[in-house]
Amino acid sequence: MSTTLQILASLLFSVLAIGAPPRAEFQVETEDSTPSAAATQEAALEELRELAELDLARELIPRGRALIASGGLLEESGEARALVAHALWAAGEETEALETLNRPGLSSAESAWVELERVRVHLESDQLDSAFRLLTVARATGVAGTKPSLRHPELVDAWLLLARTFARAGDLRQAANAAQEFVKRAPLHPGAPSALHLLATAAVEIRRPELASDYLKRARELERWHQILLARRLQLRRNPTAPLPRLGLGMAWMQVGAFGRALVEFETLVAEHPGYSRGWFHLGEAYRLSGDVESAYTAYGRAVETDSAQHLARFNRAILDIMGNRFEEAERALVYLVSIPDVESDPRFVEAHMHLAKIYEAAGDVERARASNARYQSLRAQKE
Amino acid sequence: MPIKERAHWTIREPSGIRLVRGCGSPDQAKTCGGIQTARFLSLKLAHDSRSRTGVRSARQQSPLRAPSIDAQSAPSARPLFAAALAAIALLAACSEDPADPRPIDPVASESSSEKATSPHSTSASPSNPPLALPDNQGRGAQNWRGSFDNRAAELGLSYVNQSGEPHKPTILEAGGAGVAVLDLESDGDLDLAFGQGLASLSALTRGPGADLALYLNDGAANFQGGVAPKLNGWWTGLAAGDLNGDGATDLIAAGFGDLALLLQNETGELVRTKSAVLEPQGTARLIPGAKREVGEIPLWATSLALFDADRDGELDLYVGQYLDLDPLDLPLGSLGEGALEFPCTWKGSEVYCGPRGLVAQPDRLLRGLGNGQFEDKTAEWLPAVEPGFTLAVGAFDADNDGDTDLLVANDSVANRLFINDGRARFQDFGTSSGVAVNQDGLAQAGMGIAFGDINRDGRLDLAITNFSGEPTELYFGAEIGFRPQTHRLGLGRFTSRLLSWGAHLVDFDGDANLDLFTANGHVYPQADEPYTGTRYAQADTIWSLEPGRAIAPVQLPSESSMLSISAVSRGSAVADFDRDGSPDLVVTTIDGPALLGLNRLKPETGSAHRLSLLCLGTKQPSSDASDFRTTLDAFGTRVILTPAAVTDAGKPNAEAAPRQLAEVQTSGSYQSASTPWLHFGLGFRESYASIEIRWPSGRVETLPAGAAGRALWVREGEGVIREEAFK
Repeated sequence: MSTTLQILASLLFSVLAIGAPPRAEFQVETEDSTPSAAATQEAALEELRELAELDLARELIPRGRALIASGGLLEESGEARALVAHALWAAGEETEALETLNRPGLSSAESAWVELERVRVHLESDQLDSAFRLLTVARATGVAGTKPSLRHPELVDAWLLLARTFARAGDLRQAANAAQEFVKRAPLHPGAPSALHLLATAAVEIRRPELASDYLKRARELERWHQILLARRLQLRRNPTAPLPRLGLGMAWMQVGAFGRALVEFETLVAEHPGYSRGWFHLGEAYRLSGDVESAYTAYGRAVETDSAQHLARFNRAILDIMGNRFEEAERALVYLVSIPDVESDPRFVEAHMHLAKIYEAAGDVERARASNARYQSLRAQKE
Repeated sequence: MPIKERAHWTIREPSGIRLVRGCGSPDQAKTCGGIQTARFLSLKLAHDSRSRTGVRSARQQSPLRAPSIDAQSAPSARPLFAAALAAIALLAACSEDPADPRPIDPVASESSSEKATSPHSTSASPSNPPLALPDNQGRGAQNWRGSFDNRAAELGLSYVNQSGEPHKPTILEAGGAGVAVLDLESDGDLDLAFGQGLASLSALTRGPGADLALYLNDGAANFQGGVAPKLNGWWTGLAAGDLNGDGATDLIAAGFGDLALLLQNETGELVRTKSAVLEPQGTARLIPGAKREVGEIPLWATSLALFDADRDGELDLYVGQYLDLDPLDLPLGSLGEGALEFPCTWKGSEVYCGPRGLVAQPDRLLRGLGNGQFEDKTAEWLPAVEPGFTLAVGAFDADNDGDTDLLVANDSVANRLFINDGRARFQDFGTSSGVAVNQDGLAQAGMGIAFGDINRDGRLDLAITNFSGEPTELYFGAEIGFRPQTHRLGLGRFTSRLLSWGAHLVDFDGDANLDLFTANGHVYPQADEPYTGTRYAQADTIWSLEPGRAIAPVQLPSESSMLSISAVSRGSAVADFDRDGSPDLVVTTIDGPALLGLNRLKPETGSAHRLSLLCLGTKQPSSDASDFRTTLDAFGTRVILTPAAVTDAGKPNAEAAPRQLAEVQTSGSYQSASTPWLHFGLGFRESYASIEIRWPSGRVETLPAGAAGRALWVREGEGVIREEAFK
């Protein structure tokens, strides 16, 4: 029986490609594997990725060796082999790294990972020509001669490696072309800040100072974001069930619009800490911003249930009530909010008065509508 | 009106999201998201280069979406780094470097390259044109003749560094000390001063502090201890020069919590002299043994550069500063508290914290008044840039315009190249000149700087040492800025596992080509744990450089050579201590003895003739029309030596050998100061055809042809005033 298994939790990587592979599209076709076996493989691979991204070679190498060994869970995974070889090379175990890369037994699709890791090794060895040849194939141009093209354009790392090969060889123009394609394909990749730096340098070369400045700014922002992300992940490794690091990790994903990734963190957070109101509120935010209003409504409700002083959640739920034509519920929530002295005049809740005015107006209660609107106008003027 | 606010109700619309600064922090979660994300609160991105920018909406103004390089889709100008932008604009107005490598045919650069490429079309002929590269694999190790043995103990150089506890719990204890070459007692011999720390940081707060260590040279590289200046602190970087115009070399000592002005008196002793501008004030000064409170942060100066910024004939001072470290509230093992505690780790090992996560201190630029005192010109002369964990400062003429510029190597953040407008107004050209980050676009941890004309094109080239995993970077000076050569010339593969500090571009074997020395040693003792790919103790290295050829590692025949010693090196300085014409090396190691390498080297084949030159300025203007002057130490003077046009058989040769450019400067190496003497290697040539001297005052003098094998003293306007055959 042939089964196509979607081995990556689609929610996890549904928004943006992060890391080397376009993971959301990563599928394995297999004859025999059961879904649970595939999930186990993917979990093991994800563990290796995590260790690699956190530069924890001491944990990665022994674990990875066992996984890619003959009969190991990831014996047939090119990505796993490449991750282990990369860690070995960085650890100074160069001979074993090369042996790992040269070991036979991979399918042609899986070999792509290993080929890219070979390119990396050539770059590390300053063998730029060899790296270039490994990365590219000659392509007929139709008229005369050939033109080099990437062997594995489907792997985003290939574009970054191509950019670096050109940059190291001194060809900034070509480096910029590859870097631009890389950033387009993997805008949140840890290598993206360096690609943006390359683009900035190339922009200087073509006398585009504004463009260069823009790239530099983006590089800097992204670099800082990656630092935050890394810090949160390391904090989580140290305190796996502490709520704050996971909340921070989810919010880091929110910052860049990766709501799917954020949802995973917030769901885990509230599962571990069901009484944590802030977790429910931010889960609601993630749902809302990813378009799932119903789930957002539920999450806001849980936030209010677990902490009656969670005014942001109450307010946002009221807005969703308005959107769903549940005006009575909305009115109740908004009246409650404006009855709290600190909230009533809080600039963040100014529009509660406006929404109340609209609800009263729709209900024909002109007097209260005017009063609410007047209060809204007054607070808005103060706010501005 | 209410109806207009309806747009705000549509909170389903993701484009409504606007995140505010700090939303990544759970501590600030209460002010993030919710109502604010539902409003169109505009995020104001500060345009000040000192600002820290926030992150914008991913959908609307994503920092993650690459702008097209295409003109139509280019974003409007939104200057962020004022100085950088100006620098880029200026650079952009200039022509391209004609020496750019030839571009190869474009690789599928269309936005959808898949159309043109089959992912697995490996059957195509691999006939790609090669990249335009020198043969960087074909040059084997250079087996120099002679010796370069460590003779410190034998020759009386007994200095042993102390830099805290062996396991290095704090970043201060990993920094080690620098060394300065200077002439004490004004006898012409090159003596030594060493920075010094203590056995622990708590010993510093308890007191007493450490003093500098001085060693007097008898002219043949025999050293004996000198009279120490009785300082009380933790001393890091040093800079030497005549600060008060009395003809004697003075010293400035940088430290953790202090900066000391040491003027040499008539008996050749260094005497601490009060300098209100130089010394840290208030709680920024740490006096060992004096009461301190938590939260009082000492100033921490690392590398110094004495140079003449405004060409007034007086030495000015760049003070490189590192970071905030409270000795009473040390970050040990982690930063942050509670669940947000962030472990300080490297490759899985717990290590000291910093520099990331700690606060960088801003550098300073002080104008020398000629009497040993300074005035602070930081605000007026330096652009407002974000502080960057400075570890090394190199003063040299980066743009060939006759004034002195500054390269600042920063730890973990982008380097700065401050270009002087001729009147000491500096602008940062780091990014646009190509030295801010490496060729991959990554900021590195710069530790040391060396400069020299490697390819003999009349422009100074650069080497910047870095952390392990980051190669020592090599840049060639170009018409505009610098061109990276690290990987083209094969230096990356040799240096990426090293952590290097002090650096020098000097012709050690006298073959007429510059060589690169780097002092190596890791910051983390944990580097010896499994799978780090590097080691704590590392041997120092020399790389042979030749114009147009790849880099080659140098191998020395003797097992007692200083390149055979695995140590944890830090600062280093070059000087000819025994007056034989060959530049020697002195290196500090952390928690260990100094190394003294006496150079008896010759190239793999052929002979090596040498010439040494000491330039002496006069502080006089070159003409009535100019008020530029040269300092007494002649810092900034450029010397262009034209070798004799002969063959290796001594016969006339119509094709002249490449001219050699050198500049009188002593800064660049980590926390250290080298000799102001210039050392030229002439290879088989026994003479030179001419020597052109360009003084900072604007005066240009040319010395006629002469024989090698000599040391020459040249005074501005007077020519050679003294000469001496090498010993």
